[in-house]
Amino acid sequence: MAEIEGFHDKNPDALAQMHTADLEALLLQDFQISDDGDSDMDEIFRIAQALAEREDALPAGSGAEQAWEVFLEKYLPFAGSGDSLYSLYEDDEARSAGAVQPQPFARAEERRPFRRPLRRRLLRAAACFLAVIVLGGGLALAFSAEAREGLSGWVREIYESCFVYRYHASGVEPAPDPPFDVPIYRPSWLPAGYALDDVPVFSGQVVLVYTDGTDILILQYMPAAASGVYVLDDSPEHVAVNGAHADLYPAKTENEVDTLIWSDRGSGMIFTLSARLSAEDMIRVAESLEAVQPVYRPMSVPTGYQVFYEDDSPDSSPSGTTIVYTHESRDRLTFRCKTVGMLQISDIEDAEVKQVQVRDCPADLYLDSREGFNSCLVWTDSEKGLIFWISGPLSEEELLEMAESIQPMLPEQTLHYPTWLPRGYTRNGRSGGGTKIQLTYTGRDGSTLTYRYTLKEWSEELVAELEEVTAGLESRSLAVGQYDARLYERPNGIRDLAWNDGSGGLCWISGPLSEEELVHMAESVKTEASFP
Amino acid sequence: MEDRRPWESTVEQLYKDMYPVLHVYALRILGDSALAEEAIQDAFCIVCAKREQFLSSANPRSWIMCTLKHVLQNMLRTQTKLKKLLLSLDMGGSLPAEAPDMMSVDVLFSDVSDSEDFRLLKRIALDRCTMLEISEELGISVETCKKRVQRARKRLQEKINRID
Repeated sequence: MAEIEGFHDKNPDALAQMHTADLEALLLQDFQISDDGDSDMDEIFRIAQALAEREDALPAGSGAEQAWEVFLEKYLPFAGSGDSLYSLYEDDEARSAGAVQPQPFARAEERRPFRRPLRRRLLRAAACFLAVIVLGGGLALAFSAEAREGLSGWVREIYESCFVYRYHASGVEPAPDPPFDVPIYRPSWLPAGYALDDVPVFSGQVVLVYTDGTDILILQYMPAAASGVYVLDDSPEHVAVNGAHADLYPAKTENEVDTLIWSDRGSGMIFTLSARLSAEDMIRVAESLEAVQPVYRPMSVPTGYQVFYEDDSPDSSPSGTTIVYTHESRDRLTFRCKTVGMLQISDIEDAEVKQVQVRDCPADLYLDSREGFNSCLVWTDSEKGLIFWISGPLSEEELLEMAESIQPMLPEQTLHYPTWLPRGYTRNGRSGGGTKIQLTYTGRDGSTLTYRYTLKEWSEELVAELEEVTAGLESRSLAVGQYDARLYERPNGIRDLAWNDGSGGLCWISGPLSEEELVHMAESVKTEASFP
Repeated sequence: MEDRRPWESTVEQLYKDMYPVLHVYALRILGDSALAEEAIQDAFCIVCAKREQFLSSANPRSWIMCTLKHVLQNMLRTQTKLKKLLLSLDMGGSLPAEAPDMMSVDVLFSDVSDSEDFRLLKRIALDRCTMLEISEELGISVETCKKRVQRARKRLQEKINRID
């Protein structure tokens, strides 16, 4: 048998330290992004091998013998042409697998770095710095035991042609799941014109993408238990962020951007900032970073209630959030969330008291069914140090449903969101930032409901998507509050309701809802302009 | 014991050594174990058909990984294109953003959904069956199944072109 050079010849220790989700993300990312020749398939193999070892797939052969028998009997007899079974479109632009011949990969030192358009390259970098290893190739994972320089628990290890930042403390807990289980950071200073464009979700890290319409600024942070940050460069400048050591990797060509790396001793977080800015501005952005709190809100309120008043601004209400809803019957519903402290509850002397549970937290329910009297639900979340309170003329079921629907939101998501949802829907996804927002909700029947919003200046992409989805569909006009809206109905029962708000921003709700439900949800959308 | 050529032993050994890893890779991409296995079988068919190039390559493992990656890309492209083809049958070429479920596809395309071509393509594109599974259902070889799918695809494409 021919000896296969290179098989099982690498020590996958470095990959073994990575989280399974990171390894899977690398495989998918390479598959989705890389063109032919970009990938180092040896690296891809080693990643898949690391995953297979975790699944204990290697020792037992994992059905290889049986699969080989099937191959011999069912497939090999028809292997003559060299065309893929799935080359059904060989007569058009799709390439058949058989037609694509893998080329030998250049040795690491012979490879030239790829130069890509700025946005694509930056987004790739934002997705995961680890991808540089796989996609750029050429990185031997054998540690060369050179000097280490610390960044508050993080060490910079020198590999053959790059630096790797790893957390170097024992007893590190598994990485929490961003964005809510790690501190939320936002810069309080940005260069003129930059606004938050997107908050894509990646495993184990938080990524914030800002843009001024031309350039992109990417801020990433990850907890100590994350896999690490890899930088394909070997010549950082030493600078200071808030007096602590930081590394600045200046761009070496006009196609590249600067990257600043620093850490926070208190939280154990490591931060990276990639942008085309002066060193002074990079440091100024880094030093302006502040931890902010998520804002808790009920995502479901009983039919007919609209937000009347809301206060969650840190300046005026440092300890929490208050939302007052009103009903056309003049009933009033109040939600409060604050850091644990004194909370005075009045007018409950005649209420029936019950012990209930809200998401595994014990709660006190004060039920008062008399006309004109409020019932009240109070509970604490000791882990988060928060106390919640809902008061209104509601039934036990309505109070509990509203309580169960409370979810944390990122600060920028609170600018624009529906305050009423059809019964049974809960939010399970979000993306976007200050210029665009997408919230996804799932119903008990598994159906999906989306709310999308984008500012007027950034609406081109969403308009194009709406036009594509609704092409050829009949539409009709209706009113969402004071605004004109268009309603579309797809053949599969999904309805789309789109309208421009007062500032010209585009709002779009999609889901298997009735017209009435869509309009009700649309009219419940809270905007800054709707506040007193 | 049948006579075997040296390259066959090499391929067999590689197949068995690499199969668990290749399966993990294909499974992560396709999300279906049977499809993942078929992708590996397809990749090794190409290995056997192009064995001279394969055996002369400097890195056979990378060659196989690269071939599997192209097979996976082909599978996904084909599934996507067939799905679009099916869904565009009575949409005049404009597709809904979200594919209707299988029941509604049958209702939507009731005029053609009883045709054998439609059922065959639906098994590939919407049911995500492997060629092997379909060939066993129909009692034909994998190669014959591929040819039937190719012909069905062309016939339905022509039907759509006539509608347009």
